[in-house]
Amino acid sequence: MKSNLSAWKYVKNNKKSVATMISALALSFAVIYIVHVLLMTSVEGFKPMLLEYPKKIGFFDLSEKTLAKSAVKGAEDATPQEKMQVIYDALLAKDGVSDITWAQVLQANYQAVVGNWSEEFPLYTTKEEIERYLEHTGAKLVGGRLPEEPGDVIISSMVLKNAKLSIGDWFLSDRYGETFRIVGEVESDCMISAGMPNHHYNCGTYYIVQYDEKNSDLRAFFEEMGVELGAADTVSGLPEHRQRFLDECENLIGDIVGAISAVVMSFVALTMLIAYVSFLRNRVNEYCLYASIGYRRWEVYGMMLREMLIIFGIGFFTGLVIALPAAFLVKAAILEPAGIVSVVWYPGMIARLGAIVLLILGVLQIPVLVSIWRIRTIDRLED
Amino acid sequence: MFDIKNLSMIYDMDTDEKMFALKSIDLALPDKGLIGIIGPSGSGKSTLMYCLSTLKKPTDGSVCYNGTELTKITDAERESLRRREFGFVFQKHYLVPYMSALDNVMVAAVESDQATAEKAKTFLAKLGLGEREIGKRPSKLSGGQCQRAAIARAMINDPKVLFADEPTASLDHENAFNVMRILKEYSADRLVLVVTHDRSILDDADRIIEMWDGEISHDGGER
Repeated sequence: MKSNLSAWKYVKNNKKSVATMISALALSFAVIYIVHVLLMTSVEGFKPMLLEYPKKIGFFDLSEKTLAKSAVKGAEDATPQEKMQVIYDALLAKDGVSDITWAQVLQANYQAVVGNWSEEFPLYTTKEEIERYLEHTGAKLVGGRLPEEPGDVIISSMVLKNAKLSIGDWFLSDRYGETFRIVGEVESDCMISAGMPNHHYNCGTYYIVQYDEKNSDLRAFFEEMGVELGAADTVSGLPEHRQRFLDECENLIGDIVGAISAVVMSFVALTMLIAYVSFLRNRVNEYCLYASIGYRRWEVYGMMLREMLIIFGIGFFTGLVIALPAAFLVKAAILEPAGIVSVVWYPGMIARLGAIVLLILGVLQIPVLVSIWRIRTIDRLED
Repeated sequence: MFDIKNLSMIYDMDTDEKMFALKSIDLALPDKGLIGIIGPSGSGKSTLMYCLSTLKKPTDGSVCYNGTELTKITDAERESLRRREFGFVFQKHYLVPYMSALDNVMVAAVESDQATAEKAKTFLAKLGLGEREIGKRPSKLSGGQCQRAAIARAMINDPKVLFADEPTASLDHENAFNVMRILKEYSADRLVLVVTHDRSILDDADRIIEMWDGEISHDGGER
C-alpha cells in the first residue's frame, strides 16, 4: 500500500517557516566556514616560510665552546677555527650543497589574520651572491632592481603586500628605522627576500647554506661530523620539526573553530529544538488524522524524517552556496590585497559541518519520537 | 456486515466508579444503506461507532466484520482495514491546513496516480467544489466546503463502510441537508453509519438506532 504522505507538500506549502529554518542553518554554517577560512590563514600563510624555505636554505652558527669540545672528524686535535674550516669544506663538498656564505641576516614578518611569523633572510655583500641565491630558490625579480648598495633589499611580493609596502619604501621602518630601502620585488613560492647589509643593523651573522631538500638536515650532518651541539649553537630547524609546529597551529585553530562551532551550533540546535517542538504541536491534529485513517506510526515518522532531511539538506547546501562564494569574495577583496595567503576549499571542514547537521538531526529525533509516541486517533482528541 | 455481540466499553476501568459507555450491546448491521445512530450527548453513540471502526478497542464483547473478529486482529491489520475498507467523516473536518482541498483528499488515497487524482476531482465536483475551490486551502473555504472536502476524503478509496460522526455539526441547515443527501446517495451500494443528535437530518435514513446511557433504547429496523 503506497503512502501518500509527502514531505515536499509541507515544505512547498510552508515556505516562510521552512525558509526561516533553512536560513538559520545556512547562515550558521556559512559563518562557521568563513571563520575557519579566516583563522586558517595563519597556517596557510606560514606554510611557505615554515616548510618550503627550509627545504632550500639553512642557517647555522657554531659556538667556539662547541667546536673546542667536539672531536670533529678529520680534525680531532685542531683549533676551533681549523675545525670550522673542516666542517665548512665537508659541507660544501656534499653533492646537494651549492653555496655556504657567512652573512648577516634580517627578519621579514608575515602577519596572518591571527598570529604572525618572522623568518630570517640573508644580507649578501655582492650582487652575484644575491643572483645565485635567487637562482637557487627559484625566485624571480618582478619589479625594481637587484640590491647594489648597502641597505638595499628585495622583498617577496606577498610580504610586501602583507606589510603594505612597495618599492622605494623603507623596509619595516618601525623595527629597523630608515636603514633598509626596498629596491625590488621578487615572486617566490617560499616568500624569500634578500638584501645587502648596511652596517647599522642586523639580526645576527650566520653561515647561510644553499642546499637541496635531501641535504637539508644540518643537525644530522653535524652529528656525522662529530659536532656536539649545545645551547649556544644555532642550527635552523628541520622541515619535520616545522611541520610539527604547523600541525600544532592547525590543531589549535581546529580547536578554536570547534569551540566557536559548538557555541553557534548549540544555539542553532536549541532554536531548532524549540521551533520543532512548537511545529510538532501545531501539527498534532494532522498526525492524529493520519493515524485515524489508517497510516502507521512509522509512515508518519518517515514523512517527518523526510521533511527534516529536506530542510537540513537544503540548509546545508545553501550554507555551502553562501559560504564558498563569500569566502572567495573575502579572499579576493580583503585577504589577497592585504597579502594574506588563504585557501577557500576545505573539504574536511565541510565534512565536519555535515557531521554537525547529523548531530542536530539526531537531537531533533527526541521531540519527533516523543510526538510519534503521543499520536492518538481522532476519537481520543474528541473525547 | 457487522455482527456485534455483548459489546461493552468501560472508561476508568481502574477506579471504583466504573463508567459504562456501552453496556452489552447486541446489533447486526447490513452491507448497505444509511443507518443513523441517534442519542443525546454521552449516550455512547460515538463510542459505538469508534468500536466498530477499530479506533477504539472495546472492554468486552465481540465485533465481527465480514467474518473477521475485529477485537482480535493486530494493530497493523486494524490500520490496513481503516485505510482500505473504511472511510471517516469526523465532527470537525480535520483538513490539513497547509494542503489544498484536492491534496487533502489525495492524502487518504491508497493510490497516488493520475486516475486517483481525477477521481478525487470528480468527487469534489459532485460535492459542489469547483475547479477554483479544489486548489484552495481550508482557510479559504467555508465550513460547508471543508466538510464536503472531508467527505470526499472519506470516499476516495471506495470504502465498504463510511463512518460519519456528527458530520453536520458545524454546518448550517442547508449545507447539513446537502451533506445528508450526498451520504444517502452514497449508501446505495455500501454501509453509511451516521452518528448524530439531530433527528431532523435522518429523515432519509434506512434505519435509526436510538441510544440512551450506553444502551440501545430503540432500534427502528429497516424502513
